[in-house]
Amino acid sequence: MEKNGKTAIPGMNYIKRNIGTLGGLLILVIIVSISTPKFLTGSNILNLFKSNSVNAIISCGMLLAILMGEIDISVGSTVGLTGIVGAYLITNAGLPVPVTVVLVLALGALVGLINGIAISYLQVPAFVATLATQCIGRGLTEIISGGVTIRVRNEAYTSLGNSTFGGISVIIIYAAIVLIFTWFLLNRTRFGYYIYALGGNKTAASYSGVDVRKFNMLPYVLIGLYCGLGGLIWSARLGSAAATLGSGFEMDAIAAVVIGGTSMSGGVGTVGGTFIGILIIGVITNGLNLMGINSFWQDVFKGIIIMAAVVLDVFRKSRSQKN
Amino acid sequence: MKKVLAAVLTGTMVVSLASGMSVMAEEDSGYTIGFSPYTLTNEYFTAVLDGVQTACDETGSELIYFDPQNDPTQQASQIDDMIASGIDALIYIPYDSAGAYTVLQTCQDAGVKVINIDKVVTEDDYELVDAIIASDNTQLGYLSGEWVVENHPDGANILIVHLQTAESCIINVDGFWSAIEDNAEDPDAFVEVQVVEGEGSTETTFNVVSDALQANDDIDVIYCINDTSALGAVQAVEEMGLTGEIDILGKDGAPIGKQAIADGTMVQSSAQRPTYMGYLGVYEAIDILNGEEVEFNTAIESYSITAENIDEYDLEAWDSLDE
Amino acid sequence: MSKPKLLEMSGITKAFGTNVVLEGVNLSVDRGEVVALLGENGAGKSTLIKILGGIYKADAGEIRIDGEQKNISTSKIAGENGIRIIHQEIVLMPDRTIADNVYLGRELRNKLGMVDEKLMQEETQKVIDDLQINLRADQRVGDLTMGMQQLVEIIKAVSADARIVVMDEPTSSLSQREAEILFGIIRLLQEKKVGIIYISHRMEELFEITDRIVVLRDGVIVGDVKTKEAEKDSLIHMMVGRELDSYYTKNSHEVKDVALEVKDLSHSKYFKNASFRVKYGEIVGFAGLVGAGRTELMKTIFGAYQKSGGAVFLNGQQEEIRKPREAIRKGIAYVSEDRRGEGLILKNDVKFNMGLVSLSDYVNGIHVKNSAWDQMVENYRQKFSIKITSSKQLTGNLSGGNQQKIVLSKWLAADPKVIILDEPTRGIDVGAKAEIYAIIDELAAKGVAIIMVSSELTEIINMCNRCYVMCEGRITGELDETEFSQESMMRLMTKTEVKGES
Repeated sequence: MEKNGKTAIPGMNYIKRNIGTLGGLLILVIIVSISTPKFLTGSNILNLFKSNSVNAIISCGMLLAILMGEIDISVGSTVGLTGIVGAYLITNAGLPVPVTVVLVLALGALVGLINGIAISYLQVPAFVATLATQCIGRGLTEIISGGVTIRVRNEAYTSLGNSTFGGISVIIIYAAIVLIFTWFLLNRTRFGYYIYALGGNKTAASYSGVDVRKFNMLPYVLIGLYCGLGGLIWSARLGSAAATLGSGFEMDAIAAVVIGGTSMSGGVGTVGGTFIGILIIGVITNGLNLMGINSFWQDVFKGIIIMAAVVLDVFRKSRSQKN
Repeated sequence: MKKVLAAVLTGTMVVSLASGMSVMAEEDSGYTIGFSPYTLTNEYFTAVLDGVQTACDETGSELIYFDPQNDPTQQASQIDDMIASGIDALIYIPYDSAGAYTVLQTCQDAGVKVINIDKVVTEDDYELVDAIIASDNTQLGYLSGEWVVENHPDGANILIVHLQTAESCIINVDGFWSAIEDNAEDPDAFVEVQVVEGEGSTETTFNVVSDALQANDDIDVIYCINDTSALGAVQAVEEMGLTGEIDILGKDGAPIGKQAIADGTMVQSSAQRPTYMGYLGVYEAIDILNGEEVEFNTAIESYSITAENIDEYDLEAWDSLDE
Repeated sequence: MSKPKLLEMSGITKAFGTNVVLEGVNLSVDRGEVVALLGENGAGKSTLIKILGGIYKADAGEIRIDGEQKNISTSKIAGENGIRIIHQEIVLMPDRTIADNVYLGRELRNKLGMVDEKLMQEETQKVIDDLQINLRADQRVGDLTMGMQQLVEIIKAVSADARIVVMDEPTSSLSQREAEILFGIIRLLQEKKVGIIYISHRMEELFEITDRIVVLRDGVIVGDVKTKEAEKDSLIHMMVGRELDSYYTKNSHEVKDVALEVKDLSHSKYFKNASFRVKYGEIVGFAGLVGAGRTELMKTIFGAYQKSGGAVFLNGQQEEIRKPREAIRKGIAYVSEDRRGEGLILKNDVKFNMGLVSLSDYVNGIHVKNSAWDQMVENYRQKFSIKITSSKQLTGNLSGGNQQKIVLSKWLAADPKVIILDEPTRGIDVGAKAEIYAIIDELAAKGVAIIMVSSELTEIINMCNRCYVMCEGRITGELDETEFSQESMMRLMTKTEVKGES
């Protein structure tokens, strides 16, 4: 039944599966390239990837939550909290860079752990649990910063965000590592299979021997860790952290994941699709900025594309059901 | 979300008020002053609070304040609470200048004097306030425009980082251009290359300025409507390797702005005087309560902070109470 | 000429793409007639019903009602012509009253144009009384049992003056008593000259209540016989198109040591002091009415429910099993009665589902042994003749029989020592049933200890070596193969506890 000769070209499956979003991305790229010659330049493409690196990292986390049929709306607030804490530890507490990095990542993971325990062991609905941590995170951010932007003058720290490696910005490399790592996790480990299983049907997963509670909790720790990385990157890159850092990040991440073909009810979705979703959002923002179009239109376009992606998904589903 | 948070905060504040956390001074003016900004999660408004607090301590007045978290309905109900707890005068920064009528009417009915500061209510409502103290938004922009003409006598390509939802920022930008009209030999040599929306936030400005630098390689000057966003422009310019080639101007004279000028990463910032404004507000309120005459509409003089005069200012605080 | 028949569908043909699902199908129902529509899954029954209900449009053929040709293009038009379809899944609003549900979409209004709740309840009550059902129109639907909810659908149909009622597997979720009530109602509807099309896999029922049996196979009518003259074996032959060597497979095999023993196992809510044992190579049945506590007892052994007392022994050793994971590790498998809800991950493909229990054999660290995994899937596909086009096919789109074979494969891949089968053939067509019986027999021959919970007594009688009967949370009896009979089992199934008995 499995004819191996058929799947000779490895990329074909990916293209086939994401044909709709890839087509959309291509059309966008064509429109933008025609409208502005500045778009398809080497430096702008690097700039495009750079601008969307943190969104890519956060979206990988959001993908995990949505695959489980849940959501994490605390990601933006956690980026803010970890960013502020990073800046605070370096500037106000004067801690060495490696210690700060470890503490910031640990803090992110801790927020994720709290989410995970609340959702998985205490059975709090994910939206409510992460709403609560979002509030707590934002509050703590204000308290720590005192409403004041914290500047970071430590060059070893800021270089975490703005140095390059082989001509490529390190933050693009971070994002690539996170994307690949998440892909490996979902496709090459039992952890990944279990996430799909419990997102598809929690009871069936449990009856098949999956430790549902544990595997429902662990992804949130990873999401928190990714947020910590996001906070670290932004505070290093900006050389400062303000209390508003990260606000609205959850929306871009959810948008990227949904545009990438992930089902909000869980169990269906891929890192590859999410990557396309991230690029679509990135190209819209970057393209319209290059064209000098008012940012409010960007929101309008993003909204239309999210709607289109979901409608397409529903349409595809209803068609496959009739056949 | 914000409402939940605001409710929680309000709750805790009411509790702390009830437990007598408010400071009572030794020489007692006998007055209770209410202070209602529309947010306290921003260092500008915490600077106003500093001035208000200082003046209340000096005059021995009791101070009551809440944080409405950018929510006009919260602000209105908190002011009701303040009136109920017996304030004599209100230092008022409305969330929405056009929506202040009900609050003002309530205050008048309760016999509470209103000092409207920072964000001025609409002219129709002038008769309901007892005094107005505000920055001169035109002048704030004008000072920056003057700096540009002085340092780029032959003209410049200018990128504006805007906050288009704020009326004051629109006036700033108008003032900026009128300075160029008034002072430049050839105003046409000063070109607005693009207006980008920075949302007043560091990370958004970072992204939009990065894109704008891709679209335009001839930018000489970036004018930002506040120092927080200017910080994002500084990082974006630095990442493009253009530090020193582009002059970045901010607004506010915030500590972070002054530090950046001292570093040489920013060239100019027109100072706002939030601490002084709050301070003056309380003194005017007490004068009015004591039946003395005060000037109805006070425009606070701004001053231009540049590399030449940066040594004269305190880099850690917003503004001083001299004058 | 006699009066034209109530419903006549003739020459109905329907294809999806190149796949012809129905070809020249003729089906007629007269006033007061109950016609059984029999066929394996995939024979075309549901497509035919959906054409009658206006959900699909036939490629060719015509539908006549009272001799008049009708173009039933939407379900609304079907309703206007008195056609009502009662689906297997109940679609009612649980938080509203029976009357609200009955009048959904055609609410009665008073002079002011407002919904007249009182009038709707009165009218609904009339129908209920007419059908001699023990319900009140103002009861909340969510408070009713599944069986009673099914009756609400019928009340709805009668209230809307249905002339042709289609019932799709109406008894699959009903208890014996509820089914009896349903049959009574069907007879009342017959008296009212309503035509009924009745779809069911339960052969015994068809003989009890239908007048005529129409057999559909591969989209063609292969039999149309009066029920009185029909024979079960010949019907099965018509359905599957081949002689089933024997419907049930039961070979005698060696019974060895005790595999699983349960002593005084109790659950705070569902059952009390259950004690039984199963040996290797033995098939032990569990008979009982719906709600007797059989499923709950099995789930407790499997660790999905928590016991309140008692003990479970495996190979003579006491084991504490608190989670399904622990049960699986000790070699216990549980094939749930709710295949779609608890057995499969419908959004995922065949390969994924089959490998889920034995995943550590194929995914270790970051290495996925795809060839071994594919090999396993292919083995079971051949062995159980699972009809799939690719291992990447989603399980949600497969027939019940194929789904059940995938669930069985999933468990067998983990090589269990004790298998609990909870209603293993529910909702599965005759051909696939026979295949599953053969699989069960083969497992027993290999020495696996098998527990088979079933509500079909014939299944237990023909498959098991021994059986326990449960009633209201207690094991009321144990029967040996020689003592098996429908009567003995029924007696134990209804043997409620008598207070004061020691």
